Amino acid sequence: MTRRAPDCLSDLRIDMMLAGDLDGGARERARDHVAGCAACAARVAAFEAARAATPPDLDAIRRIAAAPPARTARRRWRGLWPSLGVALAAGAAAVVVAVRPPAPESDDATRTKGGARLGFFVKHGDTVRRGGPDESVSPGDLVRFVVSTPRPAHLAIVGLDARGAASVYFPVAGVADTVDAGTDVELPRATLLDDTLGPETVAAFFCERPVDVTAVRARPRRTPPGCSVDRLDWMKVRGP
Amino acid sequence: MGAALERHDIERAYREYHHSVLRRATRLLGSEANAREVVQEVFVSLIRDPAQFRGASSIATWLYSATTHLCLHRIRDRDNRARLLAEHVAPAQAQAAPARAEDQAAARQLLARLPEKLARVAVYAYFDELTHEEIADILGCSRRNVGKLLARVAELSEASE
Repeated sequence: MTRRAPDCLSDLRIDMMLAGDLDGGARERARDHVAGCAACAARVAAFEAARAATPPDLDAIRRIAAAPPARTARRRWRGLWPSLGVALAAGAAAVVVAVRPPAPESDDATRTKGGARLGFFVKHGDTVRRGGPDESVSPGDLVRFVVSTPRPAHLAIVGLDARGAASVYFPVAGVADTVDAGTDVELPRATLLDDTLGPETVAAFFCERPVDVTAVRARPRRTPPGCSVDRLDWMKVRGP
Repeated sequence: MGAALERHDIERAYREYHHSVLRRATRLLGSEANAREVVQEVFVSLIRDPAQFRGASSIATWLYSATTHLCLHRIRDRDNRARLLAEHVAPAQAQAAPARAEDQAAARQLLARLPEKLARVAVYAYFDELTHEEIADILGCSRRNVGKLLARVAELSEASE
């Protein structure tokens, strides 16, 4: 990290100056310093450019704030991985996935070829393994999903269990979400598997635009327009 | 901005500072997508519970504090998960990380392991490069106390090397 000269303005001071939140004397001192300091003038210009490049999306914030707060527990996924401090996987009632459009396709060398993929890791007892096709899992196991996608996407993950019940695994906590491009990008939080035995299909919807998660959960076998889907299956059996 | 934060105050704060929250969260987390979540969390939380801002500091310093808290929470969670995965599945992937990413990862691992208050003061001093006076303003303590906290951070940092 490049250390700033001691007399130069901190980021906080520049933020407050640009917001008009410095008091008279402090404002004048900050302006005088910027006028005589090329380094701080450049930082101010960079901050102003960043402000211009990230216009506020107040409507999205208002919409999310108006939605019901996330529940702290739900019927199928309860409890957490206390030793890891992960949060409850809470269901989202009517959540619009993400508020920003996907970024332009990345040229990152780690980008995957082909379509987006869903994967997962399973913690059973004290061991962690990567889930494979038709993986056997058990009630009480913890699952953490990972996704590989060549471009940022709006993501929803929905499970359809042996009883035909659909659950939203992602996004969690009622907050809109996106995922970065990359390979095996870990999603936040783990999910504790409940005691419904039998086969379950988990579908990950990678979408170009925000999608209504409630609608996806209502029709988990349908792929919404503008989305690609990757599905995996596991079999939930009684473990040792 | 007074203690009674009105809706229009919050919306103004969002307009004026959302890019600042995004910038800091992106640097702290190393992911713009995760940082955008933090921006949402900070302002949605404030809209839902305006009373959490008590007017003891400026809205700017409050936003620094709230952003730092949420980012540290995520860093701790991610560090725990990374350790778990590294033990079992990912040592080969870690070897391919570039040096800068390794440095940043090491810094975040240190933050994840520091006690909350020390991690916060470390963020303000080393990520944000704030003055002791500014840090004291955010933390609501004396400059002398900031110095003590930073000395403790240095001790623990050296001990972890």
